[in-house]
Amino acid sequence: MNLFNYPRLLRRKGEYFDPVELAKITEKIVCNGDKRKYTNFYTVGVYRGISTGYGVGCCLRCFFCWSYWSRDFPELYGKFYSPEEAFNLLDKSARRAGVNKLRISGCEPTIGRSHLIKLLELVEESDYPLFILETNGILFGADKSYVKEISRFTKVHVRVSLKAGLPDTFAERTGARPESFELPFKAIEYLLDYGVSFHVAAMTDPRIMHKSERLALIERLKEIDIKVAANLEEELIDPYDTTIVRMYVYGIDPVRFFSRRPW
Amino acid sequence: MRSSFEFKVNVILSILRAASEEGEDISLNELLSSMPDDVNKFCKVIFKDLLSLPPRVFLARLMYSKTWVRPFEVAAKKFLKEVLSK
Repeated sequence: MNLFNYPRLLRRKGEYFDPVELAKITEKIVCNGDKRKYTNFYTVGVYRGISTGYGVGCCLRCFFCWSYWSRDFPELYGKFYSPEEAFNLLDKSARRAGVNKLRISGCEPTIGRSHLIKLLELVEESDYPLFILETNGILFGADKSYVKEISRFTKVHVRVSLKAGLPDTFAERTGARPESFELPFKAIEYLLDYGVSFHVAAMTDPRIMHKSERLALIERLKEIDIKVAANLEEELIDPYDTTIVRMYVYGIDPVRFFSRRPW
Repeated sequence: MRSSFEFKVNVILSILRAASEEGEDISLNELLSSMPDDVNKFCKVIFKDLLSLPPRVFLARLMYSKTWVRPFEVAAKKFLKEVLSK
């Protein structure tokens, strides 16, 4: 894999990629030293109001993903911001909206480790009580030392987002090779080992996930820690513009799909 | 009268049930307001520094608390039984 065959929108029966390798290639596009690409900074209503840096670049290609086209074409979107500039813009947006929580969204924030660590150091020194780190768990699962490094921050809460309950369905939905299915579960084990505040979310929408797969996913979490399994946040697919196109390209009719009720 | 352990199990079970219904768009404080009076009053006193947290963040913090870990395990077992029977 290189910049000439960079994976864009997911297609069925495409070749599976190594997500750790894709993260490294993506980092070359979205990071420049300690600077990382963002498209915007604003406050949204989730989590009762949270200031959000909309970052660029991911190492998975989920067909149900809602994030902007910056995921698929990171070369075309965003500007580089240093950790200080990113923190100042998060702070400015939070103050304007009167909220006290921060996060990075729209991307895989663990790509660009030095940027993230420096940004979290600034959060740690600030008065903000909470920074929500939303991740797919690939890079944390691939490198335990990354989780150890995160564990020193008291303001960070990690949300690990699982995409599937079985290796084959993980590959089909994300484009990543089936063996990498294990990485987010490794991340969960490492987060527990280091006592990091975290919870797990999973795309268990019954329109794409069979009951038996949902059961397998919950059982797997139970084997790791029953409390983590109980605190699972289950997600549904929403018809965002980008999701509709990604589904269509993948080979699912979005009109039929979204006319079905999830439950 | 219920034991303190049983009460803690009930508190966590109530929060797990409510969090699964309400999602992340409310704070623990708001979530507690919709709960039985004894749970609401108890939690608002002992968790007073954590009330602004999203419920799942609060539960994640509680997961590591020595005094809450065992009641959490019992509540988790009961809650998962409910979830998996759906």
